[in-house]
Formats: sequence, C-alpha cells, structure tokens
Amino acid sequence: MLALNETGIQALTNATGMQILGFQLHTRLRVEKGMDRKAFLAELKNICGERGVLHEPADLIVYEYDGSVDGAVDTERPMAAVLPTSTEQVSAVVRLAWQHGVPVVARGAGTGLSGGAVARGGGIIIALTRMDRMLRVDPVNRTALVEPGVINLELSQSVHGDGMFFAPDPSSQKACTIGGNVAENSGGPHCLKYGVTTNHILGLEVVLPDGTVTWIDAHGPGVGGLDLAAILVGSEGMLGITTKILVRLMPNPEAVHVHLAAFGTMDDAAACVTNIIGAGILPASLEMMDQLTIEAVEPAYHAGYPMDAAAVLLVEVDGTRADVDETSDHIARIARESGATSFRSADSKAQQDLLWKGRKMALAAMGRLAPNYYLHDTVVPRTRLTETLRAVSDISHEFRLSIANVFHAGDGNLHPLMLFDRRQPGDVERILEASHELIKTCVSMGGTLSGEHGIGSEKQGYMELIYTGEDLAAMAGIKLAFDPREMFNPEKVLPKGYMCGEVRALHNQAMAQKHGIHPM
Amino acid sequence: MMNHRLADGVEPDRVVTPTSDDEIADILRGKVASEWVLPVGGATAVTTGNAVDRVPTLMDLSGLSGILEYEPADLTVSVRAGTRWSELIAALGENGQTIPVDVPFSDSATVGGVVAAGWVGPRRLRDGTMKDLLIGASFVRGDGLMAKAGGMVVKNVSGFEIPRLLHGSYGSLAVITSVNLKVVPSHEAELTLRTGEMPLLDAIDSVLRLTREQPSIAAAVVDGDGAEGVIAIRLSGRRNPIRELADNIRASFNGPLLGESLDDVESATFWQRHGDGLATASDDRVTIEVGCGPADTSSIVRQIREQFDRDAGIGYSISPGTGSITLALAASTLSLAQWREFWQRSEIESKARFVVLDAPRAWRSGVQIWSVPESQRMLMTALKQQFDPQQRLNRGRLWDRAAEESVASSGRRL
Repeated sequence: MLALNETGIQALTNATGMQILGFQLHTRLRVEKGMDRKAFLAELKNICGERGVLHEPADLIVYEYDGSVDGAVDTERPMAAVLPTSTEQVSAVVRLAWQHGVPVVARGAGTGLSGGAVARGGGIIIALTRMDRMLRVDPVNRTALVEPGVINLELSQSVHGDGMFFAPDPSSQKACTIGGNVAENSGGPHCLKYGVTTNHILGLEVVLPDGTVTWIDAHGPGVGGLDLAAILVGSEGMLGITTKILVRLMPNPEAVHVHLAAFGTMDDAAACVTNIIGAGILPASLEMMDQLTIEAVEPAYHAGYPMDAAAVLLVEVDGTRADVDETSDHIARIARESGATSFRSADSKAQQDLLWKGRKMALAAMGRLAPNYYLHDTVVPRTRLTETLRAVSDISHEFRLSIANVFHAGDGNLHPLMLFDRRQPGDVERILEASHELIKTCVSMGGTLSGEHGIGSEKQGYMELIYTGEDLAAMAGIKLAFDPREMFNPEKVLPKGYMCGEVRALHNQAMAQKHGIHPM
Repeated sequence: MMNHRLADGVEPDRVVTPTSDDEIADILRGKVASEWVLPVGGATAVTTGNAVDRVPTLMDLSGLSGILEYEPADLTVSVRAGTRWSELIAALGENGQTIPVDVPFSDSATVGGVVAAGWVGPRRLRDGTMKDLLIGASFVRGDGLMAKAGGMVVKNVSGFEIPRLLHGSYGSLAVITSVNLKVVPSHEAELTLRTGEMPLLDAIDSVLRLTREQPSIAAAVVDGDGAEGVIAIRLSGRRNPIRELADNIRASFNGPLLGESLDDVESATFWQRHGDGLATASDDRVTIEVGCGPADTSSIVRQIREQFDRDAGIGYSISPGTGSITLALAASTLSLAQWREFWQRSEIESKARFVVLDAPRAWRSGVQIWSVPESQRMLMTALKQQFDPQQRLNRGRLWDRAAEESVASSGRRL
C-alpha cells in the first residue's frame, strides 16, 4: 500500500505543478543543444510552406493545451507547430526532426482529455488538421479511406446517404478527428454494441520515427505476421503517426428505438443496468445521467428528462424491426421491475434526437453549474456499479465537491465530473486530491484508469496502481521496438523510469530478486 | 489428445509440462543457447508456418488449466491458457453465455492456442473475432519476463494493447498463460439454411447481396468445388425474429433454394463439423486462406479457378461477406513457388493477400511460408528482439527466418 500511496503523491505533486520533473528538462536540453533553431524553422518552411509552420509565441498558445484540465496536465509551448497537407510532408518533417533529435508530437483537433497532444519538454507539434480529405468511400465493401484530419461526425454524415456510419462516436465527435480516435482508441456511447475504434480499423498508413512510410493491414483474412495495427491503435501517438486510415463502416440498422427510464434512486438505476446486461440484452447504448446532470441539461435543452428523477437511463436498441420491438418490450419490463418511476419511448426521429441531445451536450451544459469541471474516465466491472457510485458520492461529501455523473453505464465506464471554480483558492488542489481518491477507489473495485480518454501525462503517475514493474517493462518494450530514441510523444503513458536502459536493468533486477540468478 | 511423440512430424528432444508462469519463465531462461521452445496447447495448429528440422523443447501447456475468475453478470471470464475450449464453452453455457467463435477440434484446442493462432471462424461476419473479445492477458515473454496487460473491464485504454498484439502471434513473442475475455449471452435460438448445389460464382454473388441487405445474418458461406457450390446461412438470436428473418431470406431467394433448414443443436453441430473440416491437416493437401474486399471475392475465385482447377481439384470454402476464401488443393499439383508466381502474374496481389494455413511437411520444407512486407518485417523483428532477444520461442517457424535474414542483409533501421 505504501508504494501505491507514494505513486499517488508523486502524481499529485506533478499535477499541481509544485514539482517540475527532471526528465522534462532533459528533453529540452536534447532539443536545443547545438541546434540552429532558425535554420531548423527554415527547413520546416521548405517542407510545409510559410503558412504551414507556426512559431510565434502568440500562434502557439492553442498548441500548448489539449482538452484536459489545466492543473491536472502540465501545459507546454512547443518550439513550432507544423501543418502538413500530405504524407510526404509529414514524412519529411519527421525525418528532419529525427536528424536533429527533436521530439515530435502528433495532434488532431486537440480535444483529448489526458494531455496526449501536449508537447512535453518542447519539440514540434505536427497538427494533422489540414489533412482532412476523404480519399475513397466504398459502399460495396463498406469501407472508407480517410486522412487523419477528417472529423468524426463528418465521416458518418458523409456516408449516411450510402446507408452506413462510423461506429465510434465520442462526445467530441463534432470536432475530434479520426486520426485522434486512432491514437486514443476512442469510444463513445455506441461502443457498447459496436466496439471501440480498434474494432473498426482495417489498415493504416503510418510514418515511423525515422520518416519511413509504411502501409499496415490490420489482421484479417489472408494477413499473416504480427498484428501491428492492433498495437498502433490506442498507442497515443508514441509509436507512429497515421497519415491514412482505412475504416470499416457499419450498415445503418433497419430500426432504432430510444427509451428513457427514470429512477428515484441511483441504486435502482444502477441495478437496472446490471439487470439489462444480465438478461442477455446488448443495447446499442446504455447511458446514465444523475440528478445533477439532469439539473444542468434539462433547462438548457428541454430534452424531456424528469427534473425530479435521481437518475435517468437512456437506452438505444437497434437491429431488425422484429428484434427491436421484442427487445424494447423486454427492456421496459426490466426497467419497471428495477423500480423505474417512468419509462418512455421516443416516437419520432426528432424525439430520439432530442433525448440524445441532452446526453451528447451534457458536458457543455455543465457551465450552468460551475465554471470548471474535471472529467474522469475510470471503468469498473458492471456488477460493481452501485457500490462505485456510492463511493463516488462519499468522495463528493468528503471533499465538499459537487460531482455529476454522466456515463456509459453499459460498459461500466464512469465519467464523474468534478465541478469547481478555478478562481477559488484551493479548489484545484481539492479536486486533484479527490481525483486521487476516486481513481484509487475504482481500481480497488477491480477497475482501470481509463476507458476511452487515454493515459497521456494526466494518469501516467497512476499506472503503477494497476501494473507491476514487469507489466510496465513489457509495455516499454513495445515503445523501444518502434521508437528507441523516443522521438514520438516522449514521456507519456509510461511512468518515469520505464524507458531506455532502465527497463532492461529493472527486468534484470526483478529476475535476480526472484530467482537469485544473474541473467546474461 | 495430443501425440507428444510428434510435433509436425518431428520428435521433440524433450517435452515439458509446466503448471505455473514461474516454471515457464525458468524454462525460457534455460542456459543452453541452442535451445528453443515450441509452445503448444492442443497442438491443432502445429502444421502452420515453416517446417523445422528439430524441436528442442515442446512445451505442453495443458497443465495450465482452469477458470480463474468468472462473474456471469459482468460478462467476463479469466481463464488459464491450457484450458480446453470445449470446457470453457461448457462452463459459460451453464450460465447461458458463450463466446461466438467456432473453434475446430474444440475438445483438443486450448483457449491460449485459439488466441495465439488468431483463429477466426465464419461468424466473424456479424460477431467479430476473439481479438475483439480479448480484454486482458498474462504472459511470459521469450526472455522470461512475466507480465500482464489489460484487465477485467470491458473497455480499457490504459497502456499499450499487448493482448491484441499476442492474438495471432503464434507464440512468437510470449507464452500466453491466461486470458481475460468478454463473453456474450447465448442466443435463444439458431437456424441454418442450406441450398442445393448451384453454380459457384452465382452462389457467391447471392450471398454477397444477401449479407449486404441483412446485417443480422451471423455467418454465410459457400462450399464447393470449382463448378458448383452450396450456400449455408447461419442465423441466431431471439427465436421469433430469426424465424421472420429466415422467411424474408427465403422470399428474397429465387428458385428452388434454401430447402433445408437445421435447428438449434443440428445447426451448431453442422458448423462445428464445418470448422473441423477446414482445419483438418492432411498429408496431401494444402490449405491457403486468401483475403480480399468482399466485392472482389468472385473475381478472385474466378481467376484462381481458371488457373488451377483443371489439374488441382480445388475445394473452396468462401465467406463472401468477410472477403475470406479458403482453398484446399492437392499438394502434388502445386508448389509454393508456383502459387507465388501465379499470384504476382495475375495481379491479384494488388487487391488480396494470402497465408498458407496448413500444408504437408515436405511442401513447407526449405521455404519461407509467410511473407510480410519489408517495412513491417523490420517492426516485427524489433518487437521480437524486445520480447524474445535470444529467439527462445518458435525459432524459424514463422516470419522469423526471413526477419533474421533481412536484418543480416540490410542492417537495423533504427
């Protein structure tokens, strides 16, 4: 337990900025030592054009951040941000950076919530937002070849007429990019039934740390060797930069029903989730919102959520007409048996959209309750939902914090939203302490740190809560295989001390301790 | 049961049957550098990959057996790698749950072996693959490092996805010792519709059209020789909706088709036998899996048929909706070199890929069975070096041999 506490304390100190970690300094030295910055920028401009390179401090401000909470994630100004328009440009920039030993951070729309797109220790950011072409849509094979800067929602909208959609649908889908989805292995409400991003990737064009460009087929019929796409998706930009993505598209379902069940207590709502899943039903999505969320959402969007409910469940079912009818009846029955105070089904597409609007826009509505929020992303086994939600409520009392819950209940993927006011002295520190408690609690329930937002720099310090030194050394092996010089998104995901020679040393030490032998 | 005396026709120098991760790590850290280990579960896929002259150590993992953790209401299970597939399915079945993958020889095949071999059956069409269900794994790397990744939750982006990398890696990076899987509720009912014989290419086109119109179809295959084929369509789900779907499918089919229908147990048995048939190793048969875009299926089958059929008497099992074409050819009619030559000459190469799933030992000897693009081979080699620097696992059996050669000839990229 001591080790766990130490980890947590370290993370807190980092997060509040009271301690600057040594390795950030290390990288910056690596960048600037013996380098002619002007000449480097000129070379970048040769590749990407005058307008494709930003390096004035004022232009770089937006590239210091992503969507994370300032305070939970350190911000950092990159040396430059480049905006390439082709794979060739990305490759040339990466090769140049490789020659000069300058780290590279790939970035999509910057909506990430774990600091993944922040250039820790400087270096350059490659923003892929100008590579936003849909190169090919193939309705017969139900695939699309897209550039990484294509926006998630725009992809689904543009293939809707061909009877298809792209299944991952993060809350940020109006802004976030497919390339970012690949890097983070993004989820969304419909991933309950359809699976997260990795299940929808058929192939990737990737720029490797030395600038090499390669096409990688995901494992499928006739594909042999190691499944490199499987490890690249979700690798948070640490292994390669994707420049083209072949995605699988799903056929639009024949029928869709959307239901709203209201409950008098959170316990009843959580039990209903367990009962639906336990009955063998796999809805397209199964989302929960608590009272505080309803208070923020309902006055803003008039989605029709009962203001007196302690929690509501938003359930979407899709499939063939006959199947959806039967499943909907079954869900209504389970909801009533679980103590639902009301159950209502949208009877038009417009009503369905309105019910969904409340959910999809929930984060935006939080401004009605507090100026700032800190959003978590822990996952627990579904049978521990009730218990976990009670613990979240205890934490809210203990730290005198309002915590709203709006989350993917069907997956057990919680999104506790801690509300605060950055201007109040001590508020940031308080949410960080509460966050620490919350993450520890979820892990103790058999849970994990992140379901869809990634580790980035935000949760790096918590990795040792769920993984042993050996587990982390195995992960470091992946990084070392792709990027031994740590050129891509350095100092992310793996806690300090798990890269470079330290890994092998740690491994040897572990073996020596366990077996009293000294490996070669 | 597995015959310990022979692995791919070779008598191993020794057989070890570890019962713990520690024992496995000890074996992999063995002092003799010439030693390497062939890890096997049910040994149902040992004829995949390059033929090797010698198996210094055969590691039988059936001693790592049993379910570690199973909470039906969470729809997750953690199971040791050597557990027989049929045992796992039976345990899940007691709680009305299952894993929607048809595994050949399920009484011998082990859970770890199924993951390591990346086995995918025809239900991929609707239900996906084991990789999609894999939420965690414990493993021992080739260098003896004991580690795990993932967890017991159904959604997880905390660190690199090592379990998915191990899927289909044929034990070349690590010995999988346990896996955590998502499970699904068993379906209330299932139904298989079969046609009589019809022209092969017509059958492919019909299935492709049907699977596009009806995404609820669980699996649909065409089996046959070069000329004729038989369609089998698998439906599963709630009883009434699948009956209705079956009626719709019958109505949309022209002619005297879909006469036969198999219910529940009969249906499941049919698909088990179907998988067993595809995976049966034979002394005179080569099994090749070709993958392509679904829409290209019939044109590729046509080209293969024009090239080989007259001599080879090819058997086809085609899943048009997933772009998977499995060919069974008489080994005597074709060498790997001839196949590769045809592949390049016909320009199929630009839109399809292939792997040799199984072939007689002699057919595989002296050749690199699997080819992967140069740029990827570099990455695969780098991963191999990280996980198994002394080449203790499956030495020379997979892409490793070519990888070793390519490193020797070109030097390391990084």
